[in-house]
Amino acid sequence: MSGISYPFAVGRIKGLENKLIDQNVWQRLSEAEDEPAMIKILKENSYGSSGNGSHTVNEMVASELNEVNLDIKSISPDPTLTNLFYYPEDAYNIKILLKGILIRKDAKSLLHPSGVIDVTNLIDAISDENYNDLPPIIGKSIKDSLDLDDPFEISQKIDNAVLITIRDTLITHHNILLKHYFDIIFDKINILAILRGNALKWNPERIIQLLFDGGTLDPKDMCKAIGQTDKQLYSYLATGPNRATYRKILEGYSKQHIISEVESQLDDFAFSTIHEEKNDSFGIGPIINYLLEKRREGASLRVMAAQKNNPSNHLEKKTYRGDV
Amino acid sequence: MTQGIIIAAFGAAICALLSGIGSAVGVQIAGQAAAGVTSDQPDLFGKVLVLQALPGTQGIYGFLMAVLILVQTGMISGAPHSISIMQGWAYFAAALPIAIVGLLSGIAQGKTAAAAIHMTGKDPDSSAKGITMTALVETYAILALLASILILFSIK
Repeated sequence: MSGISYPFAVGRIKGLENKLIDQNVWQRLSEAEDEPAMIKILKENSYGSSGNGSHTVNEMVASELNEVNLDIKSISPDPTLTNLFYYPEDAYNIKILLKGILIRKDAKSLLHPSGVIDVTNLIDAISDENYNDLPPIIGKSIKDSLDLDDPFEISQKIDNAVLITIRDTLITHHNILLKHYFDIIFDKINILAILRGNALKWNPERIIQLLFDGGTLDPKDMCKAIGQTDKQLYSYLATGPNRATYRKILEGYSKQHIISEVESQLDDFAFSTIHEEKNDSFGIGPIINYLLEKRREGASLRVMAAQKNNPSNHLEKKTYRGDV
Repeated sequence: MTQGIIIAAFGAAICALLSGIGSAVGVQIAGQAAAGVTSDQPDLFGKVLVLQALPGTQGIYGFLMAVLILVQTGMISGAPHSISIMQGWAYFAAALPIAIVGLLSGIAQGKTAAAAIHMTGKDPDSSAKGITMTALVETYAILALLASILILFSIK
């Protein structure tokens, strides 16, 4: 614990929540003619104001998210729990560095600064092959990955190590809300692996390798779902405490066969569990809700800017859903 | 000094002590929330200060009851009356409602005040609603004080 109390942290978050883009501004942004017009509106609303030299929406989003990360890290009463949402950034950094080594290219300029592991420490740890300062499972996965020459295997090993770190942290630092959230995320990873494997007709062993030992789904049921038709999937995957939602999502998949829609719906479901706790004055819910809302806001802005830069590009038209 | 007086003194002490603790904890919880809100929105200081102060009333009620017991038993003047053990326990019983309810309602009101402060941080125009919601918790502290006073003045 950091010595900061939840009432204080939530108080700060309530102030910061006022900086979320409201519906009127979203309307103006959607009506903006091009990216410069979007930038003008964002600047009027002090979005990404710390990155004064930002020339693109992408840079403004990066600057805004960097500010959000600094805020979250400075007010988090229990950094161990908030760090769970930053481990994926570490996975990205590690994969970039390892793949850079594999193809003999310096990839340091591509690193994200907001992970749990300091970027300089990470570079030093990999170059010195000394992983004592890293979380043990992540350190071991890096060590093992240096012997691999298949980028897919490297990604799988690092992602798995990060997921294990998150799962194990939640066992030692019990938090019902985050356990529920990450159970859905783990289920999402497993469901998507099965859907993709089935769609691409991978052999069952390859799909089983991609499954993660976490979440609410029974491993035996997941194995049985491999190779099944889309209409049979929910008999095996719509189980556990979230079965009603999973069934609805998988029924939709059996009709539309769009995997990205399943991914998006499972993400929305996971987010909704956090969003329901956004007014808890004494818990982590509002802090994580703010972080996820800002990330979703940034993602929506990037999609919107891409659409404006290339109107003929039929990107999926995303609507921002702050309130799900 | 009789045994009865000592028991009554304990009663006076316990109602000031417990309700004071309740208020201190309640004000602390609300204060943390207020500090969080005003660190980003300093202009809300006046609005959140009212909410932070609300859980402080239980401590005042406890103190008031303690003074009333001290007056009734003559301890405040330095010349305590001669009272029986039974009368002493009666004074002690009179102290209990505000002592216990003051402790619990002070903390509960602090939590409500923190939530109301967060609501004010999100929407400054809703501070009046927040005050109303927080003040409702006060009802039970007032009823407890009333019960304590009625018991006190019924002691012969």
